[in-house]
Amino acid sequence: MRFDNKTHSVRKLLKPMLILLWGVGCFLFFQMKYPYHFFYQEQNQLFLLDENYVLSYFDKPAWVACLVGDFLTQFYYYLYAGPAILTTVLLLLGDLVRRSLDRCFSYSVHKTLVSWGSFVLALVLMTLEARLSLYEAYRLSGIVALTGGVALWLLHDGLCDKIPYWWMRTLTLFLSSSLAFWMFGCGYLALFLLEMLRILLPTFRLRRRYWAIIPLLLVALLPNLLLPKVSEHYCLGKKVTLLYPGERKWVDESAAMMLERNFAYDNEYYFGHYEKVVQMYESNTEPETEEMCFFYCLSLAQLNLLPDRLMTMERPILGTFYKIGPETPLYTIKMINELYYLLGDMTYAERAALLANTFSPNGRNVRMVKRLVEVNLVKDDIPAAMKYLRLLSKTWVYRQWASDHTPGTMSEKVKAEIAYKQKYLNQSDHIRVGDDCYTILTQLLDSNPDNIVALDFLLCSDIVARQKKVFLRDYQQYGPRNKALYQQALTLE
Amino acid sequence: MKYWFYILITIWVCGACVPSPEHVQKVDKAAPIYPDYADVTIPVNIAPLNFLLRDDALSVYVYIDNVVFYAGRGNEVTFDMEDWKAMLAKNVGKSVEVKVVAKYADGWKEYRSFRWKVVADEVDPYLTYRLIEPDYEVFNNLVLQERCVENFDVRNFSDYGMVGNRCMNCHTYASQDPSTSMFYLRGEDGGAILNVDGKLKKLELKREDMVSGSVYFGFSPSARYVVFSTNVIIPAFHAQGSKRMEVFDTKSDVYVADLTDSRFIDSPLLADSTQLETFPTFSPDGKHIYYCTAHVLDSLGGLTSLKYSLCRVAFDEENGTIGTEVDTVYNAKMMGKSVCHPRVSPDGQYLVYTVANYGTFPIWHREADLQLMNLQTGEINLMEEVNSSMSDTYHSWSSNSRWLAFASKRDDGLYGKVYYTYINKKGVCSKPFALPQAHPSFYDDCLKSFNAPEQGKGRLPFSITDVHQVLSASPTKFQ
Repeated sequence: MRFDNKTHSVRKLLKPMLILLWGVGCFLFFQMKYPYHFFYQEQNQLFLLDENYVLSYFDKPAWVACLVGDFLTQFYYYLYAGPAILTTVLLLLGDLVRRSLDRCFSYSVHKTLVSWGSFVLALVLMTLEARLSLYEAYRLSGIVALTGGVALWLLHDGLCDKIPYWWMRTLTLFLSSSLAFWMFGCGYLALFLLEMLRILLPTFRLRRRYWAIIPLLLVALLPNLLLPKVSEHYCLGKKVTLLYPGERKWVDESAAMMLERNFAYDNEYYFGHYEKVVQMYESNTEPETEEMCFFYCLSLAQLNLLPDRLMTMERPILGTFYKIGPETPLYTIKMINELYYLLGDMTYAERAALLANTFSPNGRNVRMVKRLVEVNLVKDDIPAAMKYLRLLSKTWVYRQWASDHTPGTMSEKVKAEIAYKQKYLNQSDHIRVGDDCYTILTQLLDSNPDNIVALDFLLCSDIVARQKKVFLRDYQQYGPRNKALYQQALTLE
Repeated sequence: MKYWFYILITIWVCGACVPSPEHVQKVDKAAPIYPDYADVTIPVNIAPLNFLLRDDALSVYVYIDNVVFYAGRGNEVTFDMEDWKAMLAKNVGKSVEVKVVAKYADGWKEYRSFRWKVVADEVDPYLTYRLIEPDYEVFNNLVLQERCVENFDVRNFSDYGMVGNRCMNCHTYASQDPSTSMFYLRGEDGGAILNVDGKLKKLELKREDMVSGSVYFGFSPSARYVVFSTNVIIPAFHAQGSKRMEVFDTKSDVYVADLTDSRFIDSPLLADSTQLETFPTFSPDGKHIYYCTAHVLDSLGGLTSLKYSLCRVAFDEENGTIGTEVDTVYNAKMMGKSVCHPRVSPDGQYLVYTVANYGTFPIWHREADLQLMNLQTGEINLMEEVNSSMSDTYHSWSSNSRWLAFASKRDDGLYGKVYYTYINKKGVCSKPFALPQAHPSFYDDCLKSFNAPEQGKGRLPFSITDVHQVLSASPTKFQ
């Protein structure tokens, strides 16, 4: 008897323990192996605590899913928050799916089998969604949409239990489907799938109640009835409207991990952890990417070490040969923004920031908005800086940052940073066609011969491009600079 | 339960109540309202001029002629539509005093009052424009919108979501009439989309010997002809200062398209390879084509000396022929400025154009200003009441010639917004006001520029679906 009780207790605890294990595993995986993707996603939006902004979510389908998803995504900024939020949302989805499947199979006499079946299916779905989350463009709102659809089905099904008339149940189904479509976009499909399971399974099993399929057919017709008008209303293609908000993509795991490494370098540089970037690069045993090399170079420049370590790299990527155009990937545009801000060319830094903002989802990228503030403060264009500061002051996460950068309440640290940057501004105007970095660097140096970063990038670019004559000319014109690499290059000449 | 219900109701009622002003301190300074709607002239049919106070006001009262017109919590003032319309109707032809009283943590303040002059001349009820990021160099997720300025209704009549992520631009009416208008959809299967009574038609306004497809255009009064420019446009960037970006033409010519016979009409005067001709527009009587012209640029270094003059050439609408003599209306050499975007008022009295120090792209030129020329006397009004220290460009007239809508970057130097100014029969301009929005913080949150605003007498008779469908149609080719 005691043994039975113990077995019963263990069985009772098995599911919660498995869920706990899954949750911990999921959190640890994303925290240990994938944390920088969360920073990337957080930076790719600008969530404002503002009535006008919140109301703009009605302009697109799945407004509840997008609103909740984007609201939570802004907290990805904080350490551990991204994996914790994603895990929590996945657990909620799993729990609702399990409960829904339990209800769908409630006609069955094999209660234990149904319970475990639902549990396992829910676990599979959670794992699938976690796997899909490796795709950097898969927004949290995609998972929230599914969760919302399932929750609405549970509500609808609970209501139906209390409704005696089939026509009222049909009406309820129609209403819940429309609500799901409006509030959760693609979550409608989850609701439809669950309703299909609930109606079809007993129908085929009992070989009667074929009439029960009628409401299902009606709901299946719903998108066909509404979609043309809805897609016109939202100004979206029919497919996009139906699958809104989440573009799901099964990305290659190694490519995703490679991107994660790029994001690691990018974000550590963004956080000002230049030594960490250098240390990451120098201890890296994985295949290196252009992005890693680029941020390593930028970090070396920040630490005044670029000429010292340039030749230790197999393929130095200075970024000075990149050009921006309509086909340039968003990530490259952001890299160029970092390069020009570091060099001191505020026109090109602003241009890259504006372009990166333009090509970000919904045309908003908080990191670029911050950069636009910095650029305009350096240029002493206060009205332009205030435009972006007002936006940032309406965010939860960057309110203090905005205050620290607002003229009048600006912190001493920021004042010093801006003043330092202002020293290296171009002193004369030139009109440049295209983004030829050589011209940009020489103009910066003509304005400010003390711009050591620009000088290093110029001379290092000459060396990387094996342009010995150009190097000699540039060194004579903008040097001297006492670095072993340059002395060697001069000797070779 | 009942007890809790009453408590909740009491809390809600108390929360909704706006405290009455008491111990009000008069301050001798202008109310920090945004947008700046102080001392403006407004049409009788305009939507409420909602505004916010650029500070930490807790409650705001607005008095019109000493009568409470608005009371609300927070720093945003959003007027009731019916009250607003009634107020305008009651005060048409008059000037009303507007007083703003706001509550702060340290008490109530009454700011210096300002005035709104309500005029009977109505503004055209519709406005079309493009929403684009201020960079202009590349595009993403563009939309063309139509806004009813009598209320806050707005709709996209062309949207990236329906026509693909392509460039689209410059929706222009024929004589402010929504039954005839045109805009461009660029890229594959694109073309000039002509709307005639809601039926859309795709035109291929390009011939092999032209330097490009059509760019800037305007309709003749009969809407049979479209005058357009073809331009080879080069973007460039400034190293310093606020101009940021410079766009210039290396080639440009002007042609006329006959929409009835699907043919081009050209003239060596308007397609001279040694000259740049651009920004063509018909006079409202159809007897002249106004356009801007300058010598072709020798080198990039000479860009700052590239100054466009404003010229006109005769046009015969009956025969579809271009005249043989060119008149110079504004001589760039003499005036030391460069002209662009000429537009004649529908009554033929005035010509408004933009002047900048040089070039053909005034969007980033802070010195770019509007000027008004009296076509009868040749007298130039510098429109000082209208212009700002930032770029003021891309204007369009209302059908009654009394309202001018234009794009101005006066707030932040980056994002263009639509402003309206009243110009009376004597050519006297009034301080402009920003296109009102339902939410006063709209402009603060918006990261798009309002580009190429055009006023229309009515709602466009086609939908976004019609635009989507016309993309797959074969284009009408011109000879």
